[in-house]
Parts: sequence; structure tokens; C-alpha cells
Amino acid sequence: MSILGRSARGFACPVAIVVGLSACADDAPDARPLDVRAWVDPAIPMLVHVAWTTEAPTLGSVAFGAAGALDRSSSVESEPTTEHEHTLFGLRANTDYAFQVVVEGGSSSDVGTIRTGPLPTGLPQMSVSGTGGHEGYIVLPVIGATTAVLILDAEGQIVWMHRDDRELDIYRARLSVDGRTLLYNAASVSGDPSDASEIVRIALDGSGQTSIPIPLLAHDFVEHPDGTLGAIVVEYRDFDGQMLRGDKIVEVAPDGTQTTVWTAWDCFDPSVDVGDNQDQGWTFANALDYDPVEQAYYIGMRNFSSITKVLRATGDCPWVFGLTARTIGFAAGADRFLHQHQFELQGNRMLVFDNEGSIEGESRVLEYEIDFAASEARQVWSYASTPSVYTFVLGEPTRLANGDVFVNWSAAGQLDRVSPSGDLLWRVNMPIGYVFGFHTLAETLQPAI
Amino acid sequence: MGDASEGADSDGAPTPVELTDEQNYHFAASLDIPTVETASGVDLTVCWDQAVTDFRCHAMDPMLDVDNLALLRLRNLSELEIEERLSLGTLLMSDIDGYLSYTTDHSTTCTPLSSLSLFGTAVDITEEYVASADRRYMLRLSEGTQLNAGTQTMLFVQPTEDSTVTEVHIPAGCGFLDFTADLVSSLSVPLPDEPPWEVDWGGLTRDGQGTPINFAGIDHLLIGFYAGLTAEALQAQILDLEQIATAMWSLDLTGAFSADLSRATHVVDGTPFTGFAPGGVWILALMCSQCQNPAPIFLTIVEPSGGRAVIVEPNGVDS
Repeated sequence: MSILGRSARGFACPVAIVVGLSACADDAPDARPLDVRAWVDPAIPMLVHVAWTTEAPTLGSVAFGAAGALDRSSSVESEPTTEHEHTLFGLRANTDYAFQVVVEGGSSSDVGTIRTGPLPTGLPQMSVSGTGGHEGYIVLPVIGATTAVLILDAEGQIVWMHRDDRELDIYRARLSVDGRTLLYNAASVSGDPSDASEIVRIALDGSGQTSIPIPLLAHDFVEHPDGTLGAIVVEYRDFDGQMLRGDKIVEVAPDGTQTTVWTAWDCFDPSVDVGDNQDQGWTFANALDYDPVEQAYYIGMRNFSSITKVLRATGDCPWVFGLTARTIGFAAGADRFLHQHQFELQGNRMLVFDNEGSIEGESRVLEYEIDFAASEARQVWSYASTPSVYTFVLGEPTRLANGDVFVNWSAAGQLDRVSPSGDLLWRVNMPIGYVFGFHTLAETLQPAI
Repeated sequence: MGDASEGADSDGAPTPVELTDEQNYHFAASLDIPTVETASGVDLTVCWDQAVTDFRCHAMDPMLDVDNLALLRLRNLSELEIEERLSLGTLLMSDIDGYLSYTTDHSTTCTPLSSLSLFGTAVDITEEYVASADRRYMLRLSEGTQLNAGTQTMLFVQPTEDSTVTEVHIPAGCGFLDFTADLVSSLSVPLPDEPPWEVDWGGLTRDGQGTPINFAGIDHLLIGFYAGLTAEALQAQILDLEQIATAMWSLDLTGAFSADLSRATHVVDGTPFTGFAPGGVWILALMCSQCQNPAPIFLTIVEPSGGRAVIVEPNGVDS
């Protein structure tokens, strides 16, 4: 630990008193923050760790901010302690930050400053236009010349990164439900799936990682509120003397037990529900969501151009929306999606990332209002990029709280935020050679301590 | 510019020599990639036996040196706009409408277009390679398999309903690139003959093309020595910096803004860099191996200062 270079030391109260600051003059001596130290994480140079001690057990936090402001804070500790260490998240690379230790019911340290480290080499230089992609943070993989997971702030700047060198791709990254770790799938959906695929859990504070081997992982996974993971896994079965590539959902319980809760073979028959490219894969599931209230999965199947609801308890498929095996069809005049990827169901509204349904050969986002009683979906909204883009794989739309839509064009290396009227508000573009995986949006990066 | 040989901060660490925009070379590049019309919706035979030079006019063996053949389909751009973006290194992923590739086995120089795949997934080339008003097709040979780097040569192919051409030969790349650079008008960097040689590029703002520096792209540093050459002579052969060097040292970088040149090692024998010697020209370059444009981000003449740093004005006039 050094106060030189990229590290810094804040002034503990005794020092502050010496230099004439009065903040600590009336504080109980055992509540003063002592030996305040701050350093840049050696692996993730956008993380700053702050540590201090107190003579008596106390609760504390760290106020921090850029340009001298102290407008953000780490979480207040939940248990009193004398040895304190906090990690400051959401910081940009190569930027000066002010920080101040705040002791509950006690005193504050003097304000220290620290400069974060430079971005590691190999990360793409993204171009950003407009302001405010998301009020919180954007968690998403980068695939291509570099394979990594990034967290972007509201302006599209990198505030967290982890490079993965296991020669697999990453398609989904998400913060764990407790906010302490980040989960991602290391897998391969190009050609044959990988036996070496796994779900990786990495501590957000850079302190370590573990992984759960799950052979043949496909594009997507979810985490339940209790920490159970649900993942799409490729499943081969014999069909007419040929090994046919279907899919299943595998759950990993918090104790590590893996259980298959659904297979495509439960709901569909390859001789009836043929799909459009059995040679390369029958269902080719590529997107997964989970509704804890309904206790239901929603799974998208590329080669069916359909999305189905799956009851977790029974594996039944109460409805299928789309083309193959559909029980919910398109209302007259509604555009149909083809080879879609991610989607979002909110109430009876569904956003769908339509990769190939447009006759213009461009990808787009379609929104439907589904009448479940009438088994019919009416198109209510659509958005296509200007200039147009084609996303051959992945892609995800997310409706934001204010009605705007966040569109991840994945393989086209573009992120958009658009208003309900279709006005472009913010855009990120990647240089050639880099694409995005699926995204998740996070309100905060400061986990409870 | 401080005294690089004697400067030190309060801890005794050497004061880095700060590299500046005024020390960076300037260059302009433009591409003129030929176009061949072919039949539409057919499985072309693509050959690269004639690709005996890359676009920097370096000799290459079509059989052994080509690792990857790619077909890029681009949308919303003219061929001229594509050439401009390639020259500037500003081609976006969203410009790509389709990407098929074939990893060569170094045993042949021809393959059918249908052997190219979408990351391992076969496609129906008769549907994907068709005449289009708003799409352009480009064949690309590369060293390595990355889409963003390693380009050796390119050829636009244009499927038309009238053409009966079903075999194309990607030509040698020499002549496609017009590259002019000014290395001698910039300030040189004075460095002492003896260590320390800590250099800091954190204050740079523009690359040699005048675009904002991509610091995260800088992944290695080169020190080059050219015995018997003048700076002007080196400038005339600027595309051959790595080929004509009498000696070259390299240092991999991991994201810092500064480096100690004594950690660089000889690119051939791995021996460490031991100092600047008289009798030729020295250069210092910051490189980006993953950038679209392979030109150095920063390139300057090093002026060995005999143990004491001095400011050298353009054209070698000491101040």
C-alpha cells in the first residue's frame, strides 16, 4: 500500500486536527477513523479500496465523488467493527476522486483524493453520443478481439471490467441478487456447444472468483431471488436415427445441485413442430427470462421463431407465441418476428428483439400487446436503428421506468436509448471486431456490507 | 522538458520524460481497393494465389502467410466511404451487415465461398451473396483471425445480375494504400544515453492522424535503431519501420501511461535494451496491435542527448 503513484492516503482525524480542521474536535476519541488508507485495485483499476480502523466498534461508510464532490457513498456497515474496509464502485479510469470516511455517530476523516488507474489494454474505444443510456449501470459482455465483462455508467464509460481468457465467449452477465458478485456464462454457441462451459461468479470487489461447470451451456441464464440459477443447456436426443439438437433448462441450487426442470421434448415434437433449420439445431433456444411471481420461465427459440412460457413446477408450456407450435398468433397487420433473440414480458406487453423478420433485412424491436384470452398479439410499437443495422445473433430490448426503451443491438456493436416516440436519445458504437452480449441494467453497484 | 538524466521526484524515482503531441509524427492514409464484378447468388471460387504483397507492399507468401479469408457485407456505405473509414480506423461494427470467414489450412490458395461460415455455422451463400443496391461486399485476407486487425489485402466484389464471373483472384495489396508521413517536422524526444529512460505518454491527446488517442489500445512500445540512415531517409521508408531496422526492441504494455525503456527486449534475441548509440537514427513508437489502422499511434525520433536531455527543434536545430 502506498500513498504514491495511483494510491493515496486520506488524513485521519488526529492529522486533521494538527492541520487545523475542527471536524473531529468534539468527537469521542474511540469513534475517530484512524489510519485511513486508500488504494487502487491491482486487477480492476476503476475500483478503489478504503480501509481504516476505529478504537471502538463503529459503523462507517465512505463518501466519495469526482471533481471534489462527495455526492456518492458506500453502504453503511451493518455490524459495528474496528477494522473497516470498503470498495468504491462506479469510478471511471484515470480520474481523480475525493473520498471521506464517515463514522456513524462519530467523526469524519479529512477529505483525501485518489486517482484511479488507466484502462487495461485491449478494451475497445467506444464512441458515445447523447447523454444518459441508463440512470444506473449497464452490465454486459464484450466478445471479439477481447472477451470481457464490462459495466458502463450512465454516460457509457467503463467503470468495471473483467477479462476472460478461457477461449469461450460470454453471452450474458448479470449482478447477483445480493449485489456482491457478478455472474456470467462462458460458453460457445458458434457451431457445437462446449463441454467446458460454465457459469462464472466473480466478486465485484475483485477479491476472487468461482465457477460452476455446466457442459453445453447455451446463450442465456437467470438467477432466482433465492440464488438458484436457471440456464439454457443444449440437449441432444435421438430422432429418426439422428442426434437432434434440442434444449433444456438446468437449475443449479445454492448448494450446487443441478436439476433439469424442463426440456423442449416435454412440450414439442420434432416430427410435428419442425422449426426451420433442424440440421443446425431443432429448437435452438437462445433467450431466457424468469418470473418469480408466476414461478415461470420464458424461453425464446430461434429456429421456432417462438417464445414459450414454461411452468417451473411441471415443465408444461401453457402458451407459445410466434411461429412454430404457436398457441398465440399475430393479429392482422402485426409484423412477425423471425429468429428473434431476447424479449421482455411486462404484464401483457412483450418487447421482442427481431433479428430477421423485416423484409428490408434490418433488425428491429417489436412490441406487442397480447390478448391471452383471444390468443392473439397486436403490434403496438416498433423501432429500427437509423442508419439501419443487422444483428445476426443476440440483441435485447428493455423498457425503462420512464417509458424509454434501451436497445442492445449486440452483434452490431450498438446500444441505443430511444423515447417512446422513437427519438434516439443516446447511442454507443463499438469499433469493428467487438460485439456486445446480452445486457442487464443495475440501479446501483454498492452492495450492502 | 526536464533534465531526463538527473531529474527525480521527492522519493528519488526518476522523473519520466513526458511525450507530447508536438513530438508525434503526422500521417495521412487513403485506400483505393479494386472492385471485381461477379455473378450474383452463386458459390464463387475465391483464390489468393496472386496476393504476394500486402497493402504495405511487404512480400508475403499466399500459401503460408494468409490465416483467414473473410467476406464482409457492409450496409449504408459506398465503397469510397468504406475506404475512408478503413483509412481512418473508424469502421464500426454496426457498418457490418454480415461476416463470413474461413480459416486457411495453408495447403491451398483457393476455396469456394460456401466454405466460409458464420462463426462455425454454415450459411446458404446463394442467398447471402446477391446483388444489392445498398450493400457492399469485400473479401479480406488477414494474418490471424481477428476482424479488427491483421489485414493483408482486400478486394471489393460486386455481385451483378449481368456478370458471369464465378472465380475471383484477390490481387497483391501493394498500391492500394497511399500513405504519407511527416516524421522530421515534429520535435524529437531527447533521451540520455544512459538510463533511466522512463517515458510518460499520459499527456498525449492526438494520434498521428490527429484523432483522439485510444490509450487502452496502446499495447506495446517499440524502440528502433537504423544504422547509417537519416531521419529523412527513414521517413521515406516509413511503412518498413519494422523490416529495415538494424535493431528493434519491444515492450508489452498492460495499460499504464508510462514505461521504463530498459525493460524493452530485442525482438530477435530477447536481450534487454541497454542504451542509445551513435551512428544512425533512433525511433520510439507506441503501437496498437488490435487497432484497425496498424500505423503507430505515436512515433518520434529519439535524440540521444549524451547524458543530458536537451530540446531539439524541428530539423535538428538545438535550442
